[in-house]
Amino acid sequence: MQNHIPQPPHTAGLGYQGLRPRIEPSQVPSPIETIETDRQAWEEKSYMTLPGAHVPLSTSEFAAVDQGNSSPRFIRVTTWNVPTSSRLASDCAIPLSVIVQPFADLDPREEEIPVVDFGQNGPERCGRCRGYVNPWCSWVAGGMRWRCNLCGHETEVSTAYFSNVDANMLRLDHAQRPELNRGTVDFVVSEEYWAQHPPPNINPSYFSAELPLTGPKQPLPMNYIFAFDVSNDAIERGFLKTSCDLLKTVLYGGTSLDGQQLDSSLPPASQVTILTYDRTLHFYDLNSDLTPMLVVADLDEVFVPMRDRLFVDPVGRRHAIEALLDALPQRFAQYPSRDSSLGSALRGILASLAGRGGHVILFQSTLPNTGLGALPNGSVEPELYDTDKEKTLHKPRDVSWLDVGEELAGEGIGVSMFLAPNKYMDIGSVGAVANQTGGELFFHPKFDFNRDAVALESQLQRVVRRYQGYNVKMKFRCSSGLRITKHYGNFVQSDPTDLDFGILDADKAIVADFEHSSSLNPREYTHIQCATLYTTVWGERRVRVINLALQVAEMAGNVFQYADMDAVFCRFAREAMVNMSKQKLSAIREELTEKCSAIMLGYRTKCAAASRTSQLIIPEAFKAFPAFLLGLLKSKPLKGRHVSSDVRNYTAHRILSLPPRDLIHSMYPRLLALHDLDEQVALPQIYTVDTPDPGVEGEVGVVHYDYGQIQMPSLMRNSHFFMEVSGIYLVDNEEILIFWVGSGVSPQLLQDLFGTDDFMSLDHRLHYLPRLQTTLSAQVHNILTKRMSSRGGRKPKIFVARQNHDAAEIEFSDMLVEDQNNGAMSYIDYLALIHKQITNVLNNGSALGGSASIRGSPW
Amino acid sequence: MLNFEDVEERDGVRFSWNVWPSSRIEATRTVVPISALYTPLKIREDLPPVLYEPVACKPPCRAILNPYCQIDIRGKLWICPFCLSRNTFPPHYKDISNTNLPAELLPKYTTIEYTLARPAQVPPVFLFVIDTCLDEEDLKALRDAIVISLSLLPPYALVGLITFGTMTQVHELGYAECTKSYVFRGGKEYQPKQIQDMLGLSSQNRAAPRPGQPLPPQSFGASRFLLPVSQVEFQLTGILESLSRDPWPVATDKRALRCTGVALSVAVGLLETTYPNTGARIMLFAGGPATEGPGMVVSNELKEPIRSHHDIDRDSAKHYKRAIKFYEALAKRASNNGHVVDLFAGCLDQVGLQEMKSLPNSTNGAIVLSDSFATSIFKQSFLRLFSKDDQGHLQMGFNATFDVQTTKELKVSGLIGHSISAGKKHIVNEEDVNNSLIMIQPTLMSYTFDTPSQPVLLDSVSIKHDVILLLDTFFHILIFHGELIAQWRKQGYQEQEGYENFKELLELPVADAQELLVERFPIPRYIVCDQGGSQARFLLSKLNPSTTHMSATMYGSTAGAGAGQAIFTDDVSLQVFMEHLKRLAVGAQTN
Ligand SMILES: [Zn+2]
Ligand SMILES: [Zn+2]
Repeated sequence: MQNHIPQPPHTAGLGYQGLRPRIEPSQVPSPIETIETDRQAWEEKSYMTLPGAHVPLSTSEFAAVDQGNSSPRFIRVTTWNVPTSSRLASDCAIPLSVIVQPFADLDPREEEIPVVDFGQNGPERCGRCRGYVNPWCSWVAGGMRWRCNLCGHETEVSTAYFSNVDANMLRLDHAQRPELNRGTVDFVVSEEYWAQHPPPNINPSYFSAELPLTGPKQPLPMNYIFAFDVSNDAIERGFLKTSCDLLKTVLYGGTSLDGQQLDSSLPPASQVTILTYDRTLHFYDLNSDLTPMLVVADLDEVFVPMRDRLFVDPVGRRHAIEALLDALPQRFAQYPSRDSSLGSALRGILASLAGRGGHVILFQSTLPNTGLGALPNGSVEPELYDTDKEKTLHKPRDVSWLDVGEELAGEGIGVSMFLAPNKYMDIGSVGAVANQTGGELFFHPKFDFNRDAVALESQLQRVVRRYQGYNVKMKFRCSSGLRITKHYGNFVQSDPTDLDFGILDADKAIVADFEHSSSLNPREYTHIQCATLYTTVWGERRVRVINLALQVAEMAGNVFQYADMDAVFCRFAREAMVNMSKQKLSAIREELTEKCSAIMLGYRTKCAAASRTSQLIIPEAFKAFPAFLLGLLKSKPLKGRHVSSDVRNYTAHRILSLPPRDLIHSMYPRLLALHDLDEQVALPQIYTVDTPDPGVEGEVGVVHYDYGQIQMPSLMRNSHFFMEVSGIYLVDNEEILIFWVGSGVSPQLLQDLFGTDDFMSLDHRLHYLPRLQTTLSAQVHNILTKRMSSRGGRKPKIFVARQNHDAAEIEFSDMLVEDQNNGAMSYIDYLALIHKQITNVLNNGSALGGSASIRGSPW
Repeated sequence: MLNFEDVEERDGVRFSWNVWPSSRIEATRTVVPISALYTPLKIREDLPPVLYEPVACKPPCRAILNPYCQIDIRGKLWICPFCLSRNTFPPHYKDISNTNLPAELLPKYTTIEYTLARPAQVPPVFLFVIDTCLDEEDLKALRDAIVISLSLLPPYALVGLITFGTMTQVHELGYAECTKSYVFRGGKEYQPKQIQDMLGLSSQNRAAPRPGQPLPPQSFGASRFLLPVSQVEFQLTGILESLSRDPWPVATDKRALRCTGVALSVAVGLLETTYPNTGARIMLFAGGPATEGPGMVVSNELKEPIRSHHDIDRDSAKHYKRAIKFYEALAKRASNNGHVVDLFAGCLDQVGLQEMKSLPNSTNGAIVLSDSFATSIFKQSFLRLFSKDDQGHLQMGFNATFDVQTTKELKVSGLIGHSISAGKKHIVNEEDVNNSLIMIQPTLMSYTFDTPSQPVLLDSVSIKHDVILLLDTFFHILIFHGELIAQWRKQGYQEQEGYENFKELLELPVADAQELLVERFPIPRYIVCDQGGSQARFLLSKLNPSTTHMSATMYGSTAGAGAGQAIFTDDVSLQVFMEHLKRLAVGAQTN
C-alpha cells in the first residue's frame, strides 16, 4: 500500500503494553474479506433453509427459500450445529443463543409469509407444551394424532383438522397446508387469543371517570398519539416546528424534504390524537372546529379530560389537525415554559390508550423536571466515571420511569421517542420507557434543521410505515433437552417464559439464551419455536410462528464450523449493554475480550491442538470477530473516554434491539473509497432489446436501465493505513455518513462529486450530496439509495470532513476502529493481546481472567 | 321618638322592639327577641352627595360620626354613643358651629352615603359557574340568558366562565390562540394552594421570559381568566354557544356525575387569589344535586334516594354533614373576601340547597329556584339582578362591609332564624323589611264592588263568592276569583256595555299584581285562579284555618254557609298563635 496516511494526531488510543510479537499486517485476518466473500457468494444463488447448509452472513444480501425451516432473516443461532451436551458446549465457549427478528422485511425476491386462518378453532396446539403445529410434527395413528417435535407429546387431531395419511405417514392435504410447509407462518387467531385488560392497579397511576375494563380486549386498528414537548428548548432550535411539519407529511403525504413524493403512511383505519405538554398537559378536542385546548394541571393525579372525542379519524378531521400542527410552534413560542412534565404526560397517554393499546410517537427536548418522576438537574457525571457508582448513570434515576414503562407495555402501548436535547436530559431515565415498551429512541442533540431534518423525516416515516404489531407477547419453546434461560432486548418480562411488548416492529431483534437440560440425540434434529402473538395495525389478532430445526453435533469441529459469528457478536453486545447498569465499563470491556479469547482458546484446544503456541489460531467462522468486538469496545456506550451518559444510554438502547446486520454495520462502519470506483460499479446495467423476446423486458430499440442488477463496490478496512491523501472516502455507521476529503484531492474529483473544484471552498456545513450530471455523482447516489432501501428508507445524517480542516474528521477517525483510537488499541495490538491471553493459559495453565497481568492491563 | 315606620322608611331598619329593655335580665324575659331588620342599600333619592371620608371613633370601635353623637362644639369633641369614647374632631372640622354642621350630624341624615375619594380600584367581577348536566333545552335557555346578561353588564365589568359536569373546566378567556380551559377532576378535593398552582396563579409559575423578550404582561394571573366583558364578549358568546352537554355517559341506573363542589371550590379559589377583598359574584347555575366529589349531596347511584328533611332531622342523611362542612368552609372563604355567591337552580328535584345554603347566606347572594332554566321565572329573576339605576349603574352593591354597630349594653347575638325552608330564610335575610314580613305573613287584599280594595284577614273567612282576592306570599302572587265573579267572567259580562264597573273590578287586582311583580326579586310565580279550581290550593294553603275542625271549641261558632270556606288542616290558626304571643308578652311584663 503506497501513499498511506498516518492517523491524525487528535485521535487517541492505547498502545500495546510491553513487547508485542511482530505481526505482519498483511497476515492479519481482514473482516472485510469475510464480509465481501460471503456477499458475493449469495449474489447469484438462493439460500435453501433446510438444516445442514452454511448460512449466509447477516451482512450479505440473500434470497431465502423457506423449506419448512425459518429463514435466517427471522432467526439465527450462535451455532447451527448445536452441541450434543452441555459439556461440549462449555468446551467450545460459544454461548448458546438464538436471535429472532419476527417481523423482518423480506427480500423482494422472497415469497410472502403465508397467513393461515383456522377460524374459531384456532391453530392446532400441542396438548402438553402448547407448541404450534409446524412442518416438523409427525402424524401417527393414521393421522388421528400428531406428535410434537418439541416435547414428543401426541395430541389428538381436532375433527376439523383431520386428514388421512399416505403410506409415508404424510397427510394427504400436506401440499395445501402452508403451516406444514413453511417455517414462518402467520396464524389468524380468535377471541381466545385476545389480550386481557390488565387488572386494576392498586396504586392507580392515573384516574378515570369510568370503571376499568375487564376481560378480553377487542383488537382495534392501531391508535396513535403524537405527543410534543412544547417547552422552550423544543421551540428554540425549531425542533417543534420541524416535527409538526413532518407529522403532516406522515398523515397526509406530500413532498419530502429531499424531494420525494410520499403518500400517507398511517394504516387506513387508524385513529389519532395530539397531546402537548410543558408544565401542564394539553389535550385537544379535534372533533370540534374550535379545537379547544384542555389543560390538565394536576400532574400528580393525571386524568383524561375528554372521552370518545379524543381519538379522531385523521382524514375526516384533516382540517383541524393541520391547523393545530401549524399553530402549535407559534402558540407556545410566545410565552415558552422552561418545564417539562413528561412523566405525567406518559400517565395521560396511558389513561388515553388504556383499553385500546397503540403507538405513541413523542418529541422531547427537555429534561423532565416537573410532574411524576421529575428528575433533578445538575448531573455529577464526570465525578462518577470509572467509580463503583458509574453504573448508576446507566439506569433510571427514578424507578417510576420503569413502572410507567411496564404499565404501558401491559396495556399494549409502545412509546417511540424523538429526542432533541440541547443539554443533559437523562436518557437513562426517559429512555427506559422506550426500552420497556418496545419503542425506539431517535437522537438529534442540538437539533439543526439543515443537518438533521432529512434524517428525522426518514426515521419518522419508517416508524409508521414498517411492519409492526402491538399488544405483543412472545414465547420461545425448544425441544426436550434444551431450555430457554434468559432474554435480551427491549421488552417487559412478565414471567420467566413470556415477553411483553407494547409494540414490536420489523427492525427489532430479541436474543434468547438456551442451555442443555439433558444430552441431545445427535441423529435427530433439535427444534426451536418462537411464537409472537400480536395485533396488526389494521386490528387483526395473529400469531407469527417461527420454526427452526437444527443439526446436533458431537464434534467441536462441527460446532465451530457452523458457528454464527454475527449471532455471537449480537449476543455479546446485548449482554454488555445489560451489564452497564450493574458493572463498571472497564470490567465489561475486560470480560468481552476474555470471552473472545475463550472462544479462540476453545477452538485451539479442541480443534487445533497440534499448532504452535506462537501462532494465533482464529476459527474460520470467527475470522472477523475480533475486529467487530474491537468496534464494540470502541462504541459510544463502552468506550473508555468521556462520553455523556445520554449518548451512552441512547446508543445502548439501540444496540439492545438492533438485528445483527445493523449492529455489525454500526460497530464496524462501512468504508468506501470513492476516488477509484470501477466504471461499471453502482450503475444500472444498460441494455437494448434488438428483437422481441418474451424472456427480456422492454421495448425493442430503446435503451433500458436495469436497476435490479446494480453491482456494489467492495468495502475497505477501517484504518487510515489503507487511505491516500488524494482520495475521497465515505464512511457509514448507519446513523451518520461522512465524506472524508484528502488534502491532495484532485480538483476534477471534487468537481465531479461536490460541484466545486476548490478544496478550501468546499462547504463543511454541507449536509447533503448535490446531484450532478457526472458518473461519480450518479454512482455515489446509487450507492446511497441502495443502502437507504436496505435500511427501510432511513437516511443517515451527512457530513463533510476535509483532511486536517473540519470537526467531523474527529468522528470519522473514531469510526476507523482498526486504528489506535477511542481510548483503545489498534486492531493489530488487540489481536496481540488476545494471543497473549491464550498463550498465558496454554503455557501457564492459568484461567483466562485469572492473570493479574491481563486484569491489570488497560482492558 | 319617631314613628317606627318613618324610621324604617328613612333608614331601612325596623326593630322588633322600639323600646329597649334596659337590662340583660329584662331582655331575657322578652319573648319576642330583640333584633333588627336592616336594608343597607335601600335606595334613597333624598341623600346629599357626601364627597369626603367619614370621621370614625377610635379603634377598635370605629363607629362613624352620626346625628346621635353628643358633640361639644367649643371643645371640638364628640362622644361616641356606642363605646362612650371621647373623640376630637379632625382639624378640618374646626369651623363647625351649631348653624354650620356637616351633613352627617344633621338629624335627618341618620342614613348617609359617603362617596369615597378612593377610586374603585377593580371593576365588578362576575364569574359564571355553569352546570352542563342539563338537557339540551335547558342548556340552551341558560346559555341564552347568560349571553343576554353579558349585554347588561357595564363594558368594564370583568367576566369569567367555569363549566362543570363530570369534571370542572375553567375557561381561560384571555388566551387568544384558541379556546382553552383548565380541567379539574370532579372526584378530587383540591386544596386552595393546588388550585392556585394549577391555574398558574402563583407568582413562581410565571413563564420564563426569553432573552430579549419583554416579560409577558398577561401570561399569568387574573387577566387570563377574568376579563372586561367588552373585550371577551365575542369569544365568551362563542364558547357559550358551543357549550354542549357533559359528554360522559350516564348509565340508566345512575345520575349524571355533577361535581358542583369542585366547581365552586375552584371558583372561590380563583377569586380569592385574583381579586381578594374586591366586589365579585360567583353565579352558580345548577341543574341538579352534586353527585360527585366534595360537597356531594347524593351519590350517582339512582338506587340511593336523595335525603329528605326527615333524614336530616334523624341525622341519617349520608353525605349531609360533610357537605354542609364543605360548603360552609367555602362560604367563609368567599365572604372573607367580600365575594358573593348566587345560586340559581333549574331543576324539578332538589339541588341540595339545604347543604349549599351557607354560600349565598353568608355572602349575601341570591337564591333563585325554578323548575327549569327554560322558565321565564328563572330568566326574569336572573336578568333582574342586572337592572340599573338612572345613571346606568348596576343596583347591586359589591364588597359591602356590613358592620352592625350596637350601643354598649347590647351585642349582636346572631342571625334571625325562622322555621321555614332554607331558601325562604335566606331571602328574609336579604329582602327589605316589608318584603320579609310578607314572606312570614302573606298579605291578602280583597276587591269587591263599591268599596276600595282593602286588606283582609288572612283567614278562610275572607273567601267569599263575590270578591276577588289578591294574595301576595312573596314567592307567589295569586289572583283569586270568587265563584260568582268567576261565573260572570266566564259569561263575558266584562265585555258588555253597562258592566264597565265589573271590568274595572277585574282589572284592578291585575294592575296591582303587575306592580308587585315589577319590584320583586326573585320574580314571584303569578297565578290566576277561580274558587273551586285546582290552582286555588295556593290560596287555601296560606289562609289561616279559622274554620278547621278544631275551631269550633276555639271560637264557639262555626262559620255560616257561604261566609267562609272550611279548610282541613292540623295547623293552629294564626289568631290562636297571636293570642298566645300576646298572653306571654303581657305575662312577661307583669312578672
Ligand atoms: Zn409439545
Ligand atoms: Zn365608639
